Amino acid sequence: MKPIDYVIIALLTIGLVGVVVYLIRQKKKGKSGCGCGCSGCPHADVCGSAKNTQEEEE
Amino acid sequence: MLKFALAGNPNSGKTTLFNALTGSTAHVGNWPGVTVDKREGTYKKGEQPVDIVDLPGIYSLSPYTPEEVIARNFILDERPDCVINIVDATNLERNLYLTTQLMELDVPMVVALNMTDVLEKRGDRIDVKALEKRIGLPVVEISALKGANVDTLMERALKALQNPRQGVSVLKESALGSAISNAEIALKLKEVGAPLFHAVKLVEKDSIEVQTHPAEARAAEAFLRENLINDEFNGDTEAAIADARYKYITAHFSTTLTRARKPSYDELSKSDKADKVLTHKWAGIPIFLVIMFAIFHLTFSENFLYLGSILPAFGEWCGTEGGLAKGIFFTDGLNSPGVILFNALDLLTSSIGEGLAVGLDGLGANPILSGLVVDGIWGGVAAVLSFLPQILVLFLFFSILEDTGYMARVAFMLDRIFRRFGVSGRAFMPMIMGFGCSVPAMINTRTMADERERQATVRVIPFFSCGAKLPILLAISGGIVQAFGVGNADVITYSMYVLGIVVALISLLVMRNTTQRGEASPFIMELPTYHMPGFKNLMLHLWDKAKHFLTKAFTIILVSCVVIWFLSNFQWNWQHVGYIEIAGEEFAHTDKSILASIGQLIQPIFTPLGFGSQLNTNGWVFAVAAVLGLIAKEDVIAAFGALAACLAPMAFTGTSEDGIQEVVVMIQATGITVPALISFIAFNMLTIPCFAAVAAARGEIGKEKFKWTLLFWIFVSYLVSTIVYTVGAYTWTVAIWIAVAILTTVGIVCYNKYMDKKEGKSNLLNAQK
Repeated sequence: MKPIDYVIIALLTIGLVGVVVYLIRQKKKGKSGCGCGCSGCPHADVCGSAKNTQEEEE
Repeated sequence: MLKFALAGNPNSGKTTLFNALTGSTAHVGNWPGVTVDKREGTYKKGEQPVDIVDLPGIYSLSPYTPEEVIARNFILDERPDCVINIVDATNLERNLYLTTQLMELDVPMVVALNMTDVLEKRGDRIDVKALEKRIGLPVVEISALKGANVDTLMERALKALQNPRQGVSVLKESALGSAISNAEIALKLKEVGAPLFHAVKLVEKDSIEVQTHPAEARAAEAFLRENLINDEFNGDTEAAIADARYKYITAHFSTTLTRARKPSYDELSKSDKADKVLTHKWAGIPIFLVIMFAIFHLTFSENFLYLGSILPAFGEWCGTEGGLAKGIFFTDGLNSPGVILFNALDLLTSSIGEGLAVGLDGLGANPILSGLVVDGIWGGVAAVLSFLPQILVLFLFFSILEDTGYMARVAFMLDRIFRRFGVSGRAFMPMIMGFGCSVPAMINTRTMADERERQATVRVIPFFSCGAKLPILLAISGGIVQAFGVGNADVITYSMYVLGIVVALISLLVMRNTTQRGEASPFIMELPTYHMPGFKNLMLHLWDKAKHFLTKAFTIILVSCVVIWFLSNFQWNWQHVGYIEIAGEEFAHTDKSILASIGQLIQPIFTPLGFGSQLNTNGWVFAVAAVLGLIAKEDVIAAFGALAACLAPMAFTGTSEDGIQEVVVMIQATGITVPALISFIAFNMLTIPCFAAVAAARGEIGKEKFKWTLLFWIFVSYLVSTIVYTVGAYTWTVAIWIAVAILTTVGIVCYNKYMDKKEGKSNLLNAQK
């Protein structure tokens, strides 16, 4: 393995971990991975709040 | 924090004002029902921050629709510090009807007179000071669209807080005035909040109110029986109150409006004249289909306005001396704006891919790692990314149609057709939203009154091809044109959209006559006047779409590409698949990979659909792509992108990173046919949608019925794709499918007759009881 290979592996690992952390955070915020995006959706607040209410009830 | 509520009629500009006050980019729709639930934001320009709540558009505070219940409950239970009532100045009388109801609440209130600029253009004028005096509330002229006077509005609202306000009613002088006063006294004794509002509702025999205060309701009814003389409404107090309100508005408030000339009912406005053609009984729908085709042609055609034969000299020049123009502006003919942008982006992504490959090679990177970065990650992401310009162009046109007010007309026109399929035109609105994304579309069905109609609508929403499915449609249709030289990309894409709509309508018809039986609920909607779309609003729609497409490409799609690359480059024993040398170049031996073995295992399932066992050794890629599409629809093309480099030796070897070229590689490497490719698009369009849409459907339909919904999606997609493939590959099978359709229709008719009889009997028994 050459030094450039270690650099590529490190960059890929950082990138992938970053993406996974971002996706988990979005999921926790009630924002799903749909193509439309929450802020553009007329029910942006409803999705998250509805989920939170359900969780509270449980 | 202070809390202000925005209340007003649908289409009066509430969400536009909400955006202007809070700096939000909430979706502004040109039809009622866009705001189904309340939405919150913060106004930060004043001395203290104010929480702004955008309530759904309502015509009254009576509990006829879920929106009205939401708005009413919020104002009564959450007690906002101030209500900002938005009144559309161009429809003063009808908008003030709600104002007269809001006035009955004990809450500070300000009237925001919106769209006065439009009124002035007509030459009409409202005497704001006189109106303010007569209503007894602050009235502020604003233009929500231009953001004019919104700060003054907030100042007046903050000032209104300083004086606690008691509700007043315009009905006190009416024939029902004493009944209302009596009920109000009774409610005051019970220390009910907003007693005047509740008193009016009690006299109106409002269902919620009668249930909450039964004793007072009985007393009010008895009082009316004894004291109401000359009852021209035969005891219908609700109608009497509505009539009294309108009479008061006409006599006291409408006089503040000075018209440049008296309205003539025979004279048609520009909007009316346009509607004579665009919503014509027979021509309306064909015009809509032509407009839609024109949009698809402008976005996807490689022979714009069919000028290919007229401009061969330009094509020749592009091909030889055109420089950058080569391949961008001319394909079979002049390219449409969407294709020009697509080609330009493709040039950029291909250059980046080549640069990455050369750079990593120059640095002496390990070929496996280089393959992961260039072919696995960049190949997959770029394949999806290449369709961004066309998606944006398509949604720009859709937004223009929506903002001008045309889409609301389409809902109105389709009501007549939809009704025959057992649903009202109201169902069309979430379906139109489904073209953007199924998730908000499914939530939008909450405003539909009939539960069975709603469930049926939720089930067919994924058939309206969303933005995420567009890359599949574009890549495969482009691939068909390039590899087989048949058809046009715009015609194939348009036909697939129409196929989705037709399948949705047939499914609705079947459901509404079997599992979801019921009559279509009535559909009343106000048609907005045609107007030029707001540039800012259009750009906000596009920015939102682009932002989320890019986010998704560099998150979910990127991770998927890494996983796909790993599974297609390694064996079950964790060893790399190794390389095969073809024409002096080395390629990964994907056939030995984990992904290939999984794909080969599931491949037979898709044989009736044309992309199963009948394909050659690499045919498993279509089975894998179809399954990956369940995570995110873009993954289908991302998978092709990531796998193209491995399958390239079996096909065309190009340097382009665009999704169409990747599909061409797949076609040549697998030997798939045109009918099978069309069937593949149909399957991906109609099958179980992405994870997010599945979760939304589960939330809207409920756990119990959701499993049937999943089965419904699998069944419909499998059946339609099989029909598409068999009819395309073996024309004689049309006879079999026609026979199946006739038998199914007969079965449904018999079932319906049996159910009608059964329901008739049980109704009779209930009546006898």
